[in-house]
Amino acid sequence: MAPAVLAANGLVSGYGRIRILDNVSVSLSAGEVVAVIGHNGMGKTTLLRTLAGLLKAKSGSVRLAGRDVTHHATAVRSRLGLGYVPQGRQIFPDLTVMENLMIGQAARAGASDIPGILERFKSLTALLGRPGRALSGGEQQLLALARCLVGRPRVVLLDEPSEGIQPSIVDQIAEHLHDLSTTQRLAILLVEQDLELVSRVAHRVHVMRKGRFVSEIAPRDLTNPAMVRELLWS
Amino acid sequence: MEYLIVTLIGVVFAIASLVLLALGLAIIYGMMGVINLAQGEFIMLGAYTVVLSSAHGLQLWVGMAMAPVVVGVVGLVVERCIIRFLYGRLLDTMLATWGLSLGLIAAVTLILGPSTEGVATPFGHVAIGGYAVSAYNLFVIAATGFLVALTWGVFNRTRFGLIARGAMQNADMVAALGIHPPTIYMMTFALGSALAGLAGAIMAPLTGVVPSLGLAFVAKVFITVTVGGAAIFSGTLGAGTLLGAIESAVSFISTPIYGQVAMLGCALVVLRFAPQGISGLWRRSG
Ligand SMILES: Nc1ncnc2c1ncn2[C@@H]1O[C@H](COP(=O)(O)OP(=O)(O)OP(=O)(O)O)[C@@H](O)[C@H]1O
Ligand SMILES: [Mg+2]
Repeated sequence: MAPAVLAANGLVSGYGRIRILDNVSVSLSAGEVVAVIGHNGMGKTTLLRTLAGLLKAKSGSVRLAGRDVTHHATAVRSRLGLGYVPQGRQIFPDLTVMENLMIGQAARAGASDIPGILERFKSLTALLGRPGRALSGGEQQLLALARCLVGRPRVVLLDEPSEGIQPSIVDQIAEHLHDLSTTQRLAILLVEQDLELVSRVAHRVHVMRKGRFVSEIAPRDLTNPAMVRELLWS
Repeated sequence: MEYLIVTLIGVVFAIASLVLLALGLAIIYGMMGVINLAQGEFIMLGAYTVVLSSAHGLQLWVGMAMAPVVVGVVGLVVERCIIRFLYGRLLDTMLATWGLSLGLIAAVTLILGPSTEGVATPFGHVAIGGYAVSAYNLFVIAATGFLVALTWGVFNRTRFGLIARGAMQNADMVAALGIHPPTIYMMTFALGSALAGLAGAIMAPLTGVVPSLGLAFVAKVFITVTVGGAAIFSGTLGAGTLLGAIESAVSFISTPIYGQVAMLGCALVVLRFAPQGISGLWRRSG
């Protein structure tokens, strides 16, 4: 088996005394797309925030490209190749599209990737001077992905990219994810409720319930609605 | 006509000195929501840097160049030792910096004595018609304009400024993009302190320099920043213009005491209708 780019073991975390994440382990190798599905409030975002270091793990460990980053700050994890595209996109509202992209690569040395990224996300080119808040949800989602990619991550945590977004842009996102994982060997941990999108891009799917992974299924199983309902609820 | 020009210069000077004194705190408050009640003492330390360097035979300009460095370093130490543990806790920072302010006044009094020091005002006067205007006042106006433009440039045209604006809007996201927000906060606090030091140095030739000098300024600075709200530049310039114009106009037709009362009254009215400060008004609509 290929060595894991990202490997979390026995993660426990929460807010204050409240424990949300309960002993979750997950691992991704290069080029792999792993999805996490589950209903609202089950702890999917909490998992990604803990992996990114924005929430402290109460126990468990996180390894990134073979390095133990459990006690590393968010910024350090990012510099080591961990990209994060959060739920709700979190574009900087008062920065322009171009400035949002520039911040994405501000922590990284070397030549700019912005021209290359704009080649990939052509629709952003016409919007470069606009403040982030003046973008549609779909445009913001593409920008959030682009902003993450200019930092040249090895692995991306992607939280509900289809949320509130029209189908044509969800299609675009699916194509980008497929292409990034196959041609760039990017590892992607995809939290998503749109099972159609998951079945198109994921290689493996974890089902999350009340802060735990309750089962792992193959993407093709998602086309069986009865089985999915059973997994998510019972 | 000349009278009008001279009066106008007086008003612009009042506005400029308010903006100059408030700029440092505006940055610290706008970026991190910290009300530094020791900001007045940072101004005082800047003024003393000029006094002491002059007393040692250095030129006034050398002292002015040293002041932001000295006070910037003081700010850096204060941030590392106190402020960084208190981000997001407005009242705690106010209490801590109030204590710091008292401590700095006491320390300076102990070391340098309570007597009033001063440096001569350079440049003399320029004649406008039959009136004499202090050329140094014109210098203060020009220096303020330059400093505002420079600071604006730092925030809008540099990598540091871009990151700082990003951190102000969403610190977690900045961290997720590989930049450690505490470092940005530290640099911003030092920058705001350095600006206070420079403001004190520039104002030193116009005031008697005493350990309690900061107390004379901190209320004005605090009011200007609160009325300005979170938008650093438009807020400070807007509030400085409004309050400076009212203060100098009322001072002019009555006495400076009434001028300050009018300024405070104006601030209360503004904050009654725009609790987020005047920049809250155009932020919301914009
Ligand atoms: N800041 C917080 N403080 C306290 N509790 C929180 C906080 N954020 C989330 N929670 C709680 O943690 C639980 C998991 O939330 P989380 O955001 O991880 O869910 P999710 O699976 O991402 O849901 P969704 O699909 O709605 O995004 C929920 O019960 C939520 O109420
Ligand atoms: Mg979520």
